[in-house]
Amino acid sequence: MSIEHIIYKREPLTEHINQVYQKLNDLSSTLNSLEQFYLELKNAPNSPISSDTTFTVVPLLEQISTLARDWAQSKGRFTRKTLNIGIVGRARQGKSRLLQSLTGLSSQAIPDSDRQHCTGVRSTIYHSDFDNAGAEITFHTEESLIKEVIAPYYEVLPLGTVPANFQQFLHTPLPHPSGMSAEAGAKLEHLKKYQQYADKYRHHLLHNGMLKITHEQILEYVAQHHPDNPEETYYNYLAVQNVNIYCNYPNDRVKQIAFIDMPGLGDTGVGDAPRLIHALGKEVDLVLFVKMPKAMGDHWSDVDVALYDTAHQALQEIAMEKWSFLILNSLADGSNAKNCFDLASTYQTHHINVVQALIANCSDTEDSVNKVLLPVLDYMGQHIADLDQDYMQSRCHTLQQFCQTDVDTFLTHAQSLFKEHTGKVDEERVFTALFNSFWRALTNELSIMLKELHEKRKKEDIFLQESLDQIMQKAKQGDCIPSLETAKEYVNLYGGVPNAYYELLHELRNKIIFYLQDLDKGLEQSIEHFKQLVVDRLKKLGLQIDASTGSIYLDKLCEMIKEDASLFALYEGFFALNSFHLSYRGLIQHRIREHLDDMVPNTTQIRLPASPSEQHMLAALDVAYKEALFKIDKEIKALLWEPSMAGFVVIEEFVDRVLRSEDIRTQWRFFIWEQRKTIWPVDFQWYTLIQTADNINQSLQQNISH
Amino acid sequence: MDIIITMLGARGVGKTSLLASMYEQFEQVSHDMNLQLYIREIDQISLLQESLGKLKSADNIFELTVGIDGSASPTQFDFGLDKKHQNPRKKRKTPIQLSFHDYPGGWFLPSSSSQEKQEVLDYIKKSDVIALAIDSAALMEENGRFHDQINTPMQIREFLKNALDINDKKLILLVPIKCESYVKTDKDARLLLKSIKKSYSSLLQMLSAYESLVVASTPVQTLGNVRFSRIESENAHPCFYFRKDEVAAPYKPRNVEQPLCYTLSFVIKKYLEDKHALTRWVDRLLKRDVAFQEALQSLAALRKVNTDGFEVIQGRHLIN
Repeated sequence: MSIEHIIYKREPLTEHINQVYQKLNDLSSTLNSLEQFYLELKNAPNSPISSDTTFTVVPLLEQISTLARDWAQSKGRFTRKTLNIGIVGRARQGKSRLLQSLTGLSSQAIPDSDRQHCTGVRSTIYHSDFDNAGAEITFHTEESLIKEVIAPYYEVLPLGTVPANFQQFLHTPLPHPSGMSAEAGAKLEHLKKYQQYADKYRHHLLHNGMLKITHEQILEYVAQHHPDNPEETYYNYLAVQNVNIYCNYPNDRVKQIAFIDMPGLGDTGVGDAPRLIHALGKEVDLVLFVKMPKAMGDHWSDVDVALYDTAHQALQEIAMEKWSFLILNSLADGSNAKNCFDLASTYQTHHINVVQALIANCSDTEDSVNKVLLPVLDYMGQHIADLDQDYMQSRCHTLQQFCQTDVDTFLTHAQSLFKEHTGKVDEERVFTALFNSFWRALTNELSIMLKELHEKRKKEDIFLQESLDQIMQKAKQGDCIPSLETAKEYVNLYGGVPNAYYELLHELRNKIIFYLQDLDKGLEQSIEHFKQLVVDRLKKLGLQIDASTGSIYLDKLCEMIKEDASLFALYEGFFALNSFHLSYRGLIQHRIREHLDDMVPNTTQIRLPASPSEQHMLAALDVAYKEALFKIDKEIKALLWEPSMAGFVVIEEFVDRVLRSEDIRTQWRFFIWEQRKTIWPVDFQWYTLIQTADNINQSLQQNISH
Repeated sequence: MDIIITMLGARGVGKTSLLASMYEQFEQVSHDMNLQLYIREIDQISLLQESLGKLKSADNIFELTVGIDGSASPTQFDFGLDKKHQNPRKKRKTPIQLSFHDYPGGWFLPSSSSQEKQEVLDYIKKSDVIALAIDSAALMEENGRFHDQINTPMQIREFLKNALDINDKKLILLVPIKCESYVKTDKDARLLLKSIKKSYSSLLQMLSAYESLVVASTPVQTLGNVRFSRIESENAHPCFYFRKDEVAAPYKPRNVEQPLCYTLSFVIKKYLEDKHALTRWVDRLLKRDVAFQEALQSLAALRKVNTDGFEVIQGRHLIN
């Protein structure tokens, strides 16, 4: 599997991670609402909840917070565009040489740490297609410097309370190293430099954004002094947070690998290497330990083991035995070859657990590539999917536990708590009051609506009117009357003007009928409008259901009512309303038929003269067509009020059924009882909130089984 | 004798067409009465010929719209009624002159100038006959929706109120024009009459106070073989469309001579029973030529009553 492929395969996981993260947030806010509601209720006068009951979501929130952080971080892993290899090693083991070999950079960019100018500034090396891509420096801010660099010193040494800010730090005197161990003393000296040279590097802390430099300038920012000239001192490194170096890798296959140069563990002077490494651990996919066995004789020392352990502990995310390699740096002259071999065979006995030990000359490019890089890449290619899976496994497991145990228990407890205190009796009392006002509002709203409809029952229906106007406009605009050429064709086709005349009468009549079908649309709109009047009022009263309107809403409402077979009368009322229908065929068609008489050959009174010409025919057709339209228009205009009346009557019947028929109030009560939580969420809010939290919980568990 | 007739009515309703048809049909109607209707003025002749031409050429047209292009200024047509002469172009004055003054619709509306109004008023005072040309389609279609807009009955009422004197002896004719569609059957004709009486009820009521007036309805068909087709609204102005009963049905006017018959009936009665000096002149005239007198009376007798929508609404005793 190529690296591109590996990275590509990671992408889908990010979507899942996003969802999990989002849901954890939702859960958090729902729990907050729950607690707030509880407090309001508790502090209300005559509260059913006694003052000594406790209910808090804080512990759960903390757990969520931790989990969320964790998941957000793991997202970082899967959205990375590169596979990151971290190089760890003590000074002068060949770490820098290895990096130089693999990336093609010189010691200008990757200073060899065999001099005392090593500073522990973190560098990451990326591939860039451009030859002179240079590097980017990210500086600390005053806050990040305190938090990430200064504070660890205070904790490790220890020195007491961490200064609140940079200014304070500068004015806080540091103690004398007497009485401290040598190691601690060295660290203290290093810390003092931050105070001593503050004015040299301070301005960097205010730098916004990244500073772009060339490869040649890198040294100025990562070293204390020029390697060849100790007089040339630099202080920039004190303010540098990290360096990204870009270069054109000599080997194409590794374009999507980034190398992270870890600061020297065990090197004196570096504040809190383990912490730094821990931070890096989140960025690293695989670790290479570099050790150069001494030709004169070497063994696995305590220091080495300690280094391994430190790394292991610091890089908790990574199962070292699967994610790390041991690189034994063999010298070009072969002087330590046997030592390499020895160490390679014995590391396991010292509980150093890596995938494999590889022997290579780190200063040699070819060796580095063939004996280190390629084997590592192959390994990654084969195993990364499994490794990623392992990585996620533990997380998922933790989340699963959390959902199934902690959240579930909590919600059950919440449920019973509230039930215990507010009890069923209260719920009914609350409901009765709410239902009474609902009933009053319902009768009021429907009565007002009915009255309005009554007043308008003889008015023209605007939908039908508009539909009619549109149709007439279309019919008159269209070039329905054939042209003279067409007329002649017809005459030829049908063998005579009268024959063509009759034929064209048929065609024109059919055109009119075709246009008139559109009246159905106007009628439909009118009916939907009436239904919507009812729906609007129902929604106003709280029967929201969803965003649907008109017939669709009524359909859903009917379905809901139907679930309870005893609500028959209520169902009937709504069903009848929803079945209301007016059609062109039922209302209009038969009334306009006589106006088409002049367009039917048998009954037409528009007769052609004895020897008719095509012009006579066209004149007759024109008149027949226009007169028919005129009469039909007139006829329909006379019945425009009918849909208004029909609508009024249907709704009046509806209101009678759902408000005034026998026993209907009881049926409404049963129905509304079932709907109470959606209609009055605030009053029945407790339940709603618990339900929401539970839903999120369920859905989280679904996400886990990706 | 000069008979002065004022014609009032909406622009384009067909007043000129009526006169043209009347002129054209006279020969046919009065074929054995040995009477003749002349026009002397050349431009009047050509106006009528033009109108007649349009009517006749409608032979080939199936559909006609209302001529909105009615005249905007008053027109006058002077006819002479006489025995048939060998040489009809003699310049001598004919025994009877019929002077038709046609005033455009706008002249008796409130918006017209006082000068215009005065001219109409003056002429009405001089007139023996006032003919109100009524657009039948506007009256009948869609329950008279456009009647007020087009026929302006209220304005006419007001105008006549100012123009008439309580002692006036005049003939007022309500002349529905283009009424072909509305008198096809007896039932239709009765409905037309009913609608006239209803739509002009306030005018008729006002006129009923004048004891010496004769009021009659005389529907005319200037084209014949025509019927109402439809109304189309163009810019909120209704356009009435008519069409022939059949494609290329011929020009066949009906009852266009009736207003003339009613006029003669009225005039003869008025002057015969009036013992003023003028009547002596008429007597002298009529006695001189018994044949002419008889011919006139035959013509007057052609007057239709109680059929086809004709009716003497008021003053029956003053016209029989």
